[in-house]
Amino acid sequence: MTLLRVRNLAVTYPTSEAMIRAVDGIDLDVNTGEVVGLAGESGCGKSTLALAVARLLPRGAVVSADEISLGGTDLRTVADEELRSLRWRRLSLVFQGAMSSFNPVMRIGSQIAEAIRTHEPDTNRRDVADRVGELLNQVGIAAARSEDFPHQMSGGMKQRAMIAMALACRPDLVIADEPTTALDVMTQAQILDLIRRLADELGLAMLIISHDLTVLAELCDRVAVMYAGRIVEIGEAEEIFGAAGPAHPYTRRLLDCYPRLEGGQGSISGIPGSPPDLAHPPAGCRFHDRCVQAIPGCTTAVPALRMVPGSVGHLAACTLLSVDTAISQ
Amino acid sequence: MAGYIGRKLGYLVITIAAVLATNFTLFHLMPGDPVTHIARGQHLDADAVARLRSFYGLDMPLPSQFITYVQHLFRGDFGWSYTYQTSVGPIVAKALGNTLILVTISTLLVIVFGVVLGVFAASRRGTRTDGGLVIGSLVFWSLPTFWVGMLLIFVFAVSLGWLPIAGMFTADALYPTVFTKIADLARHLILPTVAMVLVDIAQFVLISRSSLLAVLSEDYMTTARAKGLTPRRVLWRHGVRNALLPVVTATSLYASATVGGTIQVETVFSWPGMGQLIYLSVVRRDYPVMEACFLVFAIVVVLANFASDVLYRLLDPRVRLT
Amino acid sequence: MTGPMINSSLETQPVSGHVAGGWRGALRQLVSDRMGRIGLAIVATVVLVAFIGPLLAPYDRTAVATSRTGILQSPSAAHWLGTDELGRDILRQVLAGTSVSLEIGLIATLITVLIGTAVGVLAGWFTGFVDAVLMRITDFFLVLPSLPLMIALGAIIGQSLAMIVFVIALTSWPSTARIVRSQALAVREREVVARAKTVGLSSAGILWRLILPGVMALVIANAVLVIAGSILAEATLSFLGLGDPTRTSWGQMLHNAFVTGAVGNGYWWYFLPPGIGIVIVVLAFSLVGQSLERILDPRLAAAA
Repeated sequence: MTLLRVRNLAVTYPTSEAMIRAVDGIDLDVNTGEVVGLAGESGCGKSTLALAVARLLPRGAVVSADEISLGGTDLRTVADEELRSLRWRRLSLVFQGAMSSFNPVMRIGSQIAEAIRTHEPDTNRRDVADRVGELLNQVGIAAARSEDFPHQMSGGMKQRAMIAMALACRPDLVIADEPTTALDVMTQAQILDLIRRLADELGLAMLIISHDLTVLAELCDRVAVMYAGRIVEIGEAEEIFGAAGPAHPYTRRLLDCYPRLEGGQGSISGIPGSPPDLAHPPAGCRFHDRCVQAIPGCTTAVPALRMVPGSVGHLAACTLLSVDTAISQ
Repeated sequence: MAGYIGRKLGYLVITIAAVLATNFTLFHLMPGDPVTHIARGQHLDADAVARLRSFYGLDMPLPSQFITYVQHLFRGDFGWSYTYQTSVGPIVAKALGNTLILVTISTLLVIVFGVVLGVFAASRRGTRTDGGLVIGSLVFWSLPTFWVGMLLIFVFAVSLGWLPIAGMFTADALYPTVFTKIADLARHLILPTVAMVLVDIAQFVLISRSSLLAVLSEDYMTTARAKGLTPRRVLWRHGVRNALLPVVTATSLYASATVGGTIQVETVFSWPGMGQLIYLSVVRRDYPVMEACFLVFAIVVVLANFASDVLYRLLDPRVRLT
Repeated sequence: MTGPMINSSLETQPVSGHVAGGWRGALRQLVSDRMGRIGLAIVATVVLVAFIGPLLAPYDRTAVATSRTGILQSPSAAHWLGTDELGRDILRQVLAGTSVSLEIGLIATLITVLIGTAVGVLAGWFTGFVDAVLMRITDFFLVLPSLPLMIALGAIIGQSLAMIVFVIALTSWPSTARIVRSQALAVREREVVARAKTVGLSSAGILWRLILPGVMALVIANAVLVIAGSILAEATLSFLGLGDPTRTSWGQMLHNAFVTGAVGNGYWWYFLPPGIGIVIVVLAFSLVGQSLERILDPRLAAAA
């Protein structure tokens, strides 16, 4: 059952020189109990997308969409009062806790308790404290640490505390923005295990955003890949990361950036060039100037998301696909 | 924390000692001995001269002079004022009391209104209200405090006649009750307080504004909003609470500025406090009084700095536990 | 208030010290910023008045009134701003005062900046013991309340413009020193300095060629604000009776106005113009100084 439905979401930042389209016409679904990943380079708009859905963008950003609905509530038009009430209870976020996502002058426990008391104001103090302790235990932190200030916790611990806080009001959907970035590899693995476990146990729907495809490969049921403000590929994780491999040249190059333990010889390559200027995006497919497989048709028409032949629900926005389809027909 | 306070107290003691030494140097080591300075143009009888010489211990070597001086201070002996013909100590004590009345009220107003206006400006950043407050603060900071006092007297006391021109109480007034006395005091307090507040408030508006603006762009503000907290709670519990830290630092610098403002305001309004005292001591070249005033001002500022340091430590857990 | 504007952001966070396009670029940015533009325009006007004013309306100290009716006149055709208690023309005094106030402000600032920069650079470069000692001295001077100190020194040394310049510089150099020190520390950490050391450039060489230029932009921005503070300080000291009675600064005029009871008697033409002059000049320099600080530190610009 669809929990989050986003249709044709666009986010524009008007500046004195030009309009920057950080997100340009995105469709995205997250079903109940499903873990969806959102991948892409820095600056491709993925964090902007998450903040736009949660309506947390600073003023100055112009958000438009045909639909943004969370379980029946239209997030575009919902009143402030109701928006605040559904925050954390139905939709919560996990930011990079290792940075400054916690208030430095408030104890961790108080910040978690604050969320609980805001949305369940009748809970008495003892119960709130117990709940905080349970949440911390759930993520592997001793309950006594709730008295700590953020600077007293390590990066990994803060990230776990951030996760604990996100679960405080038993949300339907959790959006995690780069949950493992800025952590060392060992801690990353621990956090990934934790997220995986919690998602399974609690039947959470999650939208995980990361530039690290390996992270998404481990955690997600479905994955969407963004480039320059658009979704260029979306499908089941098993399909994209499996034997068949990705259908979009960008995703393929992205995957090539990460070494694999099992494969034999191979070379890690970066992607030449840099992401396009979002104020003046190139015509046609936005990846064409960095794509080794580009054909003349790539510069003229903007490729739509098309079904990858022989798959179920695997879509990619590549001109080559329609060429292949045409050839194979 | 105890260790920190201990260290700061030690530093405080050293600083006060340095202040005493500076005071001594200023007034005792200047060319010509102090008695000559004082005697210049004043008709002093032998008794006064003898008292002065003994107070300053001028026949002894310098280090002994300094020790004698400190001993006198600890005994509460601040010397003899020949213009008031009485001990300096009680004069200064009385003036200090009067100054404290003025300063306490104006400091409270400055800090409270300064921070509130600064927060107000920051939350309306980019609007004309914000721009107006910033420009207004700059303009007000450029006003000489004493001149503001003069303007206020001219407009409200002389031209409109709403408030008294000068002084702390109406001269030769009889007060049937305590309340009428307080009311008279209050009437006299208004203009001096306004003069002190108008100029100094600008600093706090600007500092709390820029501090809050910096805080507003921090990640934890987004987290707070994402949690569904009311905008008021997000602004005050998460925003202002963090933005206060630089403001506390500013208060320690403010103490020194307040002294300057006090001297100017009390001079213009003839408020019988430390400020007017030091001004009159300059006019009359009454060095013992001047010296005592300087000492008191310096020590008060040093104490204020100490208090502000401790307060900062209390408010910022990141430094509290180191 | 006799000190420069407190700006805790610049003091604790060193800036890159570079402005795109060097001097010309800075000037261009200054002009394009509205506050900077206005400030610059006013400063230019004031400087012009300081030079030309006395030529157009020469102030003759000896031109006192010959009879009782000539004193404390309100503005008239003969005297546009009226006369003072000796019958002297106030407009001419105000014009003459422009150059006096500016002169004192600039000289005091020069000395302040020289001492403050020297101390700050030395402390920031040598660090360790030298830094600790210099900073203790600096902090001590910061703690001493400036106006009482200036008053005490003024009373002891005696009234003169030189004394005023001296005491203003004495109480202003510490905050410049702190600002310069933190910037010098930051410049010291830069790679350029490490490379210079390996190449074998002497300490003096590095100080002169790398550190000093690195702090110069900040010093200038700070100096402009110090000018504003110095002019205010001189006005305050002169008002309190420590100025030089033979030179008409605006502060001195206000002192004369006050002691002759101009306020109580409502002779507004006497105490309004000099005060307005002070406000305009101080405000202009503040605008320019704040604008420069914003140009130097984009973070401040973002918060503005």
